[in-house]
Amino acid sequence: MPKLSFSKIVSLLVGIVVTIPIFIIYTSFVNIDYEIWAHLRSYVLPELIINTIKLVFGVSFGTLILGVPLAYFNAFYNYPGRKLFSFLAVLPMSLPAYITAFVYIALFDITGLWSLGLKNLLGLEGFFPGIRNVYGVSLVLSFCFYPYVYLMAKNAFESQGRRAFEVSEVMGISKSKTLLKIVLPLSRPWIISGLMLVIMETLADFGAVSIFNYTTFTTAIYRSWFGLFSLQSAQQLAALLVSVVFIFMTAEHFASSQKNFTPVGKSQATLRRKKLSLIQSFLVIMFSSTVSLFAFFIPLFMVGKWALKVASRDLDSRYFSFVFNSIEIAILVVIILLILSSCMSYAVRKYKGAIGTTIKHLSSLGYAVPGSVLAVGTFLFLTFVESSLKLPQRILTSGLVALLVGLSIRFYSIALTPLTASFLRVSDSHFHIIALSGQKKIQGFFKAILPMIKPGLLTAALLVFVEVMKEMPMTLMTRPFGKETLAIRIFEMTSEGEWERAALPSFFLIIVSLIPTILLFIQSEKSYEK
Amino acid sequence: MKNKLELQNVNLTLEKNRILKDVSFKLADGEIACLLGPSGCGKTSLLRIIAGLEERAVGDILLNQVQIQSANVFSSPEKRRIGMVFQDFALFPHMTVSENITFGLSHLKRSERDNKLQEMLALTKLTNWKDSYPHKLSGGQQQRVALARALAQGPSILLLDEPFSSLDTELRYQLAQEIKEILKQYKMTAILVTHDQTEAFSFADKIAVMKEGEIQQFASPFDIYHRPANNFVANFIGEGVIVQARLVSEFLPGYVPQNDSVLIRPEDIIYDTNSPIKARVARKFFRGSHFLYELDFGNGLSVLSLVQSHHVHNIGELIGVRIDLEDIVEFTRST
Repeated sequence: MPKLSFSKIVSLLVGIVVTIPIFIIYTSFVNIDYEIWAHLRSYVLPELIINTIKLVFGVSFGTLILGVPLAYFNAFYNYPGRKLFSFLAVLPMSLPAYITAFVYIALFDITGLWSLGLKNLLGLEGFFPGIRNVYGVSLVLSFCFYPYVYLMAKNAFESQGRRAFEVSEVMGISKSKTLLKIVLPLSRPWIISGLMLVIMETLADFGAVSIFNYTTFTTAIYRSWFGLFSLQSAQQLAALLVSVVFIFMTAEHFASSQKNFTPVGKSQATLRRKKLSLIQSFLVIMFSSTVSLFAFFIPLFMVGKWALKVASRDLDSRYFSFVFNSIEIAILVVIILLILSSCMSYAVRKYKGAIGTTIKHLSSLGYAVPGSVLAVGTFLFLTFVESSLKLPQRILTSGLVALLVGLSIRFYSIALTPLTASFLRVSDSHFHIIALSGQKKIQGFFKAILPMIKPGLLTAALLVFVEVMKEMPMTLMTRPFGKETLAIRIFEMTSEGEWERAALPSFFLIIVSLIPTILLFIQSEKSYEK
Repeated sequence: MKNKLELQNVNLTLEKNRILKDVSFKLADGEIACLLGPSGCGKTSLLRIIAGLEERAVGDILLNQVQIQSANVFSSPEKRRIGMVFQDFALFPHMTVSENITFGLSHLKRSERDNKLQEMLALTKLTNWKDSYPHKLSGGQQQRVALARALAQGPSILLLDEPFSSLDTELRYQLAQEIKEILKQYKMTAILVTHDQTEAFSFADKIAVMKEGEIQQFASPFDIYHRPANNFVANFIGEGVIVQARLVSEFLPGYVPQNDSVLIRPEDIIYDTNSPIKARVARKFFRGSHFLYELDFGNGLSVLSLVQSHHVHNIGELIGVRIDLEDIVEFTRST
């Protein structure tokens, strides 16, 4: 009879609480309201499905076109400024998609600044087609999400591809043939799993598509709930979306499981990159800097410019409350998640059994589920808890609780991954040493174990903090009335078409999320060097 | 001499698997014992039971003639005052050598703690490294820090769980010798767990050979080698073959077997060109200073012989040998 320890109970509970809101969504299939279903099927679903398919194809195409070549050049070749450009290529990840989106709408929409300027200049009325269409959204989302493909592909090329190139060089096989016949097929699992992440992000995106007025599942869920006040149709749409997500998630798992090719050759450190000629270098640099310009520097620059412009008018005490609210929520979620994921990774470390790992995998599902779906699920779950525990109505669903529960579920796996990794450094013997040394368990934990997992705790805290700050749909749908955060302010300004005024909260958001990113970078540099 | 540690009928059964069966032995003060056996024989479990890290065991354990475990007594690991050195060293990576050594000494006064630290640093020759972090040290140095940390607490007994297995072979025996000297200097009673018999022979005063949770023999290294208690110990320790005694007696006038099998070690077969007994070389292995020849006596008897390596013979050649059995170790076939 295995003992029920504290950590075991905690991890079981966490596992249950984290998974219920995801699966409660499916209760909509148990008692289908046929009226709603008929309405959805004939008026909403066809557009949704076609829009989603188009978007998924568009963004997949865009991210592959941008991500794979960049990865190829940076993995195999050397050119002036390679280190800088391979760093710049990742930067767009730090911009929330909705910021890039509204900057481009503001610049290139039919009434956008540049479009108007072009029209006046050239006198070409109606020449510029506008970007509020599938091409525009796909382009903007590709700018935001290509780093996933880039990082995966680069990793694959560096681990699998470089030695393969050397081998085929010695054997006299041409470069293009090596690339097509060996390197790309070898790297396929990585590229596919990067692409699956992109697709999952695309399906989950709410902010950018709503700025483009491009109807997808996430915006439809929001509209059914807050526009038509039909939680039930929101739930049915959420169920459909989460099923689609699970399909892609399974595909990602499958791709990941294919990654266990034996690496071609061992130490990469000794492998040299080929030098590009002057013209080739120039072309590569042009390509890299154009991508960075559009995906990172233009949005950043415009946000800065507009923020300065409206600062004198808009910047007042309200802004402190936006910033304060954002930080408050982020810190609360960080505290919750650090405690929960420490218990979980300790528990899983202790019993390596199947139950532990299953709970761990199940409870990290949250990150794959779009925020808008999770908002619906959390709301349903808490309403269920209220009614079954006979609590006063809306005691859980009207305050911060719903938001904190939802955000914690969503970002749980982000906290868990670095913590589990740092717990790997703690062996059973370390715990035995504490037991044998005659110190109190708590004292031993703080003195000996905590410092060992500190890097993991810090990484987890920073990652969660940044993600919560940027999160939009869940905060929008489950926040207490009147609780404005930076992301909410951006949503409100963009839905009124006040692009320049949306730049001010965006500016704050970028600043606040850049600080942890820099800290993270510094931390990864120093580790235990003293 | 008084018994430092005594185990009486210690049993451990986990999920219907009997991990340990009626383990009993006594250890005198200052003695170094070694638990030797193939992996999975229960030797590490036994160590954990003595340390108090495994609560599910049944049986009596006495430390300094005091019951620390019995049917209704279980003293917790910290009360047992037992030091332990682990296979993975388990040093704390964020603490310096000094901080690691003084980890369990927070109850001492500052001056006492410093004295203890200096003593341990000198003993383990780590004084120059006292402010280094573990990742700057070699494997052998890390192991000495782990030893210093365990000894600093003044344990009544020291347990070492495969402490050398993660080190290079050359370093292993050198460090085993060094640590043995330190332990003897401290008159420390210790138990070492290992699967390496050379390590056991060089380290221990007493060896407990274990198999499937049972102690097969508990004796001095000399006796374990020359007077193995049963078939398993004879096979497990050293090189040697167990052959039909009848076949041996054909070449050894005056030897009257009392049993059907007898153990022949390679050094029992002595190279002697003048001997009338001739055997054919079936296989040979070069060992540097020696050749190990597998010899076929023609009557079905096949044994190993260790011969100095300047006596070179080809496979198939007949060579003269003498059988010289000093300790006759016989078994019935069933054991």
